[in-house]
Formats: sequence, structure tokens, C-alpha cells
Amino acid sequence: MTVRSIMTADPLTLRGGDSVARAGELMLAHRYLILPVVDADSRYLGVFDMWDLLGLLLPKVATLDDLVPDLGFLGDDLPGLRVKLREIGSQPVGPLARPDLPTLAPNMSVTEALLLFFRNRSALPVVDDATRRVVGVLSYWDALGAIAKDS
Amino acid sequence: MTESAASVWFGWDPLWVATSLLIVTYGIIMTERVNRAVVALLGAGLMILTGVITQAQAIAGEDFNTLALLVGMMLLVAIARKSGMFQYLAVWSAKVAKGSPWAILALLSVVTALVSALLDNVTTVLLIAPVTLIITDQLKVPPYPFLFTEILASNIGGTATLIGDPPNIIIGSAAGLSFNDFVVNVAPVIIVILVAQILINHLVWGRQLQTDPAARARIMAFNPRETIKDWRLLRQSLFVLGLVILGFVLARFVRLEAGTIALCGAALLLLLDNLGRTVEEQVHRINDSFAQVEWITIFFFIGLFAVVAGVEHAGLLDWFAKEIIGLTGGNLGATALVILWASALLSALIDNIPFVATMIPVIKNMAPAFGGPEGLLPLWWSLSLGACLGGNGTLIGASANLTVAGIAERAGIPFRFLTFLKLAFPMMLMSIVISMVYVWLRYL
Repeated sequence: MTVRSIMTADPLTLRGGDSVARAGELMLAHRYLILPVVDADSRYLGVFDMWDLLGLLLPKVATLDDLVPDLGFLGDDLPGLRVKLREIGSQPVGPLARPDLPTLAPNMSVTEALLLFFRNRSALPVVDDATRRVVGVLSYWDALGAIAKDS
Repeated sequence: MTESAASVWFGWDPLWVATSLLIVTYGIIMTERVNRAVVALLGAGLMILTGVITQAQAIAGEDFNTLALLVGMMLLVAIARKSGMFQYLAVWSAKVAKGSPWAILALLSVVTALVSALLDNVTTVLLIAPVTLIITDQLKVPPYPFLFTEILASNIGGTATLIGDPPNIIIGSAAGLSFNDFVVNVAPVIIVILVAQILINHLVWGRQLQTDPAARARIMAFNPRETIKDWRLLRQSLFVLGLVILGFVLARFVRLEAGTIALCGAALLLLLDNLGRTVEEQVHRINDSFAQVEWITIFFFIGLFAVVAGVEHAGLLDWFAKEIIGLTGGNLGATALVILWASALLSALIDNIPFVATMIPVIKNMAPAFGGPEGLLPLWWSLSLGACLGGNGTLIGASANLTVAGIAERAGIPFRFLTFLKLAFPMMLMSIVISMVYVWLRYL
């Protein structure tokens, strides 16, 4: 069983110029945790995920290592978070896309994909090595579902 | 010239061998290409291997009081910081200042200086700067002025006490100056310098620090108590830190060295922190605490003390002391000012620890010219003020500067060498002018 046989083909992708607000809308509408980002020629740039979006709502320093133990001392500030969400909404996702998350290859074994899920704790884009185009997305739900179904 | 007890390779002149080793060691340290602890240890080893000094002389050159004080304070801070007490002070400052950016900047400067006077400067800024960035994020004001001011405050505050900055620790230990001696002789001028620095920062940055009522309301909604992660540890830490500071104050009466007091305090806090825990838990926690001791700094000192012992035995530092006295005509005032300014300017560019470690025997060798050890006091204070405050001159002048710059860059705030230099260097010069007037009026 390969990644191609169980992935979601032709997934929703973001263009580099799409806004963070657009990414947020897609995540909320489809409950996606990750969205692959592609350039004008549809080549893979990286991933923009839910944690990137949530991180933008936080003070940057709080997202770095363990410099700040927690934010318990901040008061409850829902209006402030809404303002911040509007402020970050206009940013393009291109510069925010992370190229460091590993990608899966269509002909990769599911065992190898499981190892990458285990190490990265995230759904992963499936990228064709030759063309650098996103051909699918595989989530850990899909992988576990396929394994359970076969058994 | 002091006769070297060992025999030097090929019968070479020990003065030249020692001087060459000193220059090469310090030169490589300055390049920062090889870890400074490794370079210092190799320099020390070569002093022994080439026969400049014997092993016994190298060990005699080690200042174990300084090493014990450094390790003891590092352990105390490593444990106490887990309580959240230092973040509490930063968050509390923002709230007490009622969300006014300028008042927060001033209060954070004072808190940074006070904490730096009792802890090492790098630890202080590592604890205060991240909370500062959250405060400025909530206020929606530029963070640079706050971080800039905290750098200056940490180096200024660290100058005020025996334990605030490593140069003071080695000066105090070598010259027999107590915690109280530093508080009485250095702290007064430090308060003046800190106030002057805060006022100048207000003039420079004040207009940029505007905020709105919503941002102030966010600050007023802060709950400082939430920063305390372990109330039991907080009580234990405050108790032990209080005892240690009391010990420093009473050190002369109880005839204890600062290193003994700090290490005993660290052992007591380790004991209290581990009471009632299983043996496995104790091993894990104590390993964690020991791992947080900055061993690079400790081994750097160990190597450095032996290198300095080498050049001292070879007679270089005695010669250098006589040259300085010759240059200043044996005038105590002129000598003090030369030491103050040379220390400040050099410390802005190079690591002040090797410089101070080398200058200590140089100053000691001047005792006969200035009426014995008592006559050297203005020189010790000049060395301390120059070496510690000089670190504010450039971004590479002190470890705390680079630590803040690193945090800022990672948080997306540009922290450039020249931008820092343009304001920091004149402010450093101002602090040295104030120190010069102080030393002149009080001691000369």
C-alpha cells in the first residue's frame, strides 16, 4: 500500500498571495489543519497550518522555545484577539509558508508515512518529486483508517 | 623580575614565553572562533608544559573563592528562577506603572538594575526581556527602547555589588573587598548613573511611547500572581536568597568568604527543594540544577587564572605596573583615571573578564608606590566601574547585550550593531564621566 492509494488527491491549496484571512476561512469551513501553499506555477512552497495561524495571534516571543513559561498573567481579552485576527488577516501566506515540514512522495510506503506522522505530529502534503506539484494530502486519520479497514 | 620555579623549554626567557602565550591566548579568545573555555585551558596547560610555571604555582593562582561564588550563585538562580519570581517583578512593574509606557520603561530599568545587582546580568535579561516583549506587544509600542534601556540597566546594576558582575567577583576576592565595601563605595554612583540613563532615555524615546486606553486596560488586566509557578519554591528561594545576602553583609564579622556563603546557600536550597521527594526524583532535579551551571564560564576562569599566574610569575605584570606608574608619574589620581578610561574603552570591545584578571596583579604590584594595599582602593573602584560600565559601549561589550539582541532578532525585532552603538557609546561615556567625577571627589 502506497501513499497515493490512500491520500486525498487534488487537495485545496493556497497561492502565495492568498491572505491569512482566506486560509482561516478554508480551515474553519473544511476543518483542515494544514494547507499546502504553491507559487504562481503551482510549485510547492511550503505549508501554512492551524498552528501558524494561532501563533500569529500570540506575542511572537511567546512562541519561541521556553522563553516565556506561559501567558497566564494576561487577562482575558477576546476583543483584543478579534482585533488582532483582523490585523493579521491581510498578510499574504507566501512568506509565512514553512518549507521545513517533510513532504510525502506518492510512491512512498505507508510505514514510512507513519514514521513521518509520528515525528512531525501533522498531516503532510504529498508532492511529486519531479514536478514539485502538490498531488495530494495525507492525514494520520486517513492512514489509520486505511490500516484498520484492511485488517 | 620573579624567578620562575620551573625550567622553561630550551632555556628561553620565561618573560617572553609567558607574554607570547598570553597574547596568543587572548588573541584567539577575541576571534571567538574557538570556545573561550577551551582556549583558556589550553593556554593554562601550555604555561605549565613550557615550564613557565609549575602545576603547584598554577593551582596557587586559582581563585577558588571566585569559582565557588560563581557556582553557588548560578545554582541558586537556576533553582529560584523556576518559581517565576523574576517574571513576577516585570509583570508587577507594568501594572504598578498603570500601563504608562514611559513609567513602565523606567520601572523595568530599575527592576532590571536591582535584579542584576544580585544575579548575573545574562540571567537577568533572559528573564526580564521576554516578558518585556509581551508587555510592549500588549501596549502596541516599539520594543527597542525598552530592550535598549534594559541592556544598559543590567550592566549598570551589575556594577553596584560584589556579586553583580564577574569582574567585581574577581576584584573583590583578590583585593579582599566585601559585599558591603561595594555597596558603600560603588552603589551610590551607580544610582546616579542609572537615574541619568533613565532620564536620557526618556528624552530620546519619550515621544515614541504613546499608547491608547484599550492597551492600558490590557496591562491593568495583568495578574502578576499567575507568574508564580511554585509558591513553595518561591518561599524557599526568598528565604535562602535572604540568608545568603545577609551572609554577604555580615561576611566580615562571621569571617566567611563570599564563595563559602554562596555554596552553602546553594546546598541549602537544593536540600529544601528536594525534601520529601523520592531518591530518583532528587537525582533528576539535582542533575537538572547542576546542568544549568555555566560550566564554560567556570572553566574559562580556571584556565584564565593559570594563564595570569604564568605571566605574573614571569614578571610581566610587575613590569607593566611599573610602566603605568612611570607613565602617570606615580600620581594616584592620574593612575586611577587611566585605569578607569582604559578599562571602559577596552571593555566596550573585548571581554572584560580576561582584562580584569590581568589587571588585578598589575594593581596589586602598585601597592608599594601608593602606600600599601589601602592606597589602592581608588584603583580598585576605577577598575570595577570602568570594566563593568564599559560593556555598555557596544553590542559586543557584554554577554547581556548579545543575549538581548539574540532574543530580539528571534522575535523579529532588528537589533543592529551600529544603531546600538550610536546611542549606547555616548551613554557609556557619560557614565564614565560621572564615575570619574565621583572617584575624583570621593577618593582623590
